[in-house]
Amino acid sequence: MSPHLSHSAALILKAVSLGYRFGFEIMEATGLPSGTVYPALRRLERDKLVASDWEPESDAATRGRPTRCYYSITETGNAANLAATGRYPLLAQLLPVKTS
Amino acid sequence: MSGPTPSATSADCNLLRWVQALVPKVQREGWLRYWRAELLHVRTLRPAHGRRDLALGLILDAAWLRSESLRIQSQGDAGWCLMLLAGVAILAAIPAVIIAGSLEAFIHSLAFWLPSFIFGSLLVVVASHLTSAIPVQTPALPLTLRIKSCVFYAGKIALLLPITFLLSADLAAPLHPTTSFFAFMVQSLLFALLALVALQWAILDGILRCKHCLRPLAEPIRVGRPSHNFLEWNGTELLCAEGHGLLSLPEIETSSSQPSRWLSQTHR
Repeated sequence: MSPHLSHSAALILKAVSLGYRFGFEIMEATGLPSGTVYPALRRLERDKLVASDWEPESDAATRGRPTRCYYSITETGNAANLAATGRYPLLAQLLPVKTS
Repeated sequence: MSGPTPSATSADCNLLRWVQALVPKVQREGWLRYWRAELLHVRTLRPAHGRRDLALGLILDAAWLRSESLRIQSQGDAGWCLMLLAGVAILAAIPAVIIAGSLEAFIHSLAFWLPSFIFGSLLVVVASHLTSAIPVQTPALPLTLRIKSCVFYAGKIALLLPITFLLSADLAAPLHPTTSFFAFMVQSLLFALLALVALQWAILDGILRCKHCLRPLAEPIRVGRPSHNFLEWNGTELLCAEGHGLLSLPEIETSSSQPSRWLSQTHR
C-alpha cells in the first residue's frame, strides 16, 4: 500500500522522479523553501520512497566541486508517485521537465 | 571543467559548527559532508541565493535527525512505557478531580478510598500471579539485568493499579448520588476487573520483551507445522531487534514439549 503523501512531499517525489537529483536542485525545481525540502527528503528516504547515494569522488573532482548526494526514486517510490499523481492531478504541471 | 574543489567560507563553517550539535553523533560526519556540499553548490551555482536561503533547511534538517533519533531510541523501551502509563494516570485523574470539585477535595477523597485500594490491590496482585501460567525458562542473567527487569515490572504495577482505580472511580461516579454503598460495590468490582486485566497485560508484556534491553520483541515467526501438534514442536519465535536473543513460545504447553524459553545471544 502506498503511503499517504502531503502535497509538498508528493511534489518533491515527483521532482526526484523527473531527474532532479540533489537537495538544492530539487528546491529550485519545486520552488519550495529549504525548510520544507530537506526534512521532506529525509522522511522520504526513511520511508524508502527515495534512496540516496554519493556520486563518485572522481566525477566531482573532474568538475572541480564537492561530491553531491544524489537522490533516486525507488520502486516503492514509483508506486507512491503514481498514486500521488492520481490524487494531485496537477502535480506534474508544477514542475518543468529536466532537460540536462 | 576541472580545478581544485572550492572550500567552505568561514561563515559557512560557523553555521555548520553551531548547528552540528543538534545532529546525533553517529550521523554528524555524513551530515557535515552533505551540507558542506549543499552550501557550496548554492554559492557556485546561484551566487544570488544567500546562505540564508539554506540556513532554515539546514537547521530543520538537523532538528529532524535529532527528533528521529530520539523517536527510534525511545520507541517502546521501558522508560517510554512508564512515561506513557504515567500520562494515562494523569488523564485518568482529571475526571476524578473534576467530579470531586477541586484538587483538595480529590486528595481528601483519596484518604477515604486508600484502605479499599490497598486491600483490593493486594488481592488482585496475588490473584493475577497465581492465575498467570506462562513460565519462561530464562538462563541466569546478570544481577543488574534482573534488577532492571524487576524495577520495570514494579513500576508498571505501581502505575497500573492507580490507573485502574481512578478509571473505576470515574466510571462509578454517576452512581454516587443514588446510593453510596451500591456505588462502592460497583467501583470495587470494576477496579478488581480492570486491575486483573491490566496486571495480566503487565505480565504478558514482560514476557514479550527482551530480557536485556526491555524493548518489545518483534518479527514473530511461526515455526513448525500446526497439523503435527502431538508429534513435533511448533510455535512462534520472536526476536529482539537489537540482537540480544529470541523468545521461543510453543503453540501448546504440554509436559512432553519444550516450554517457553528465552535464548540469549549475548550472555550464555
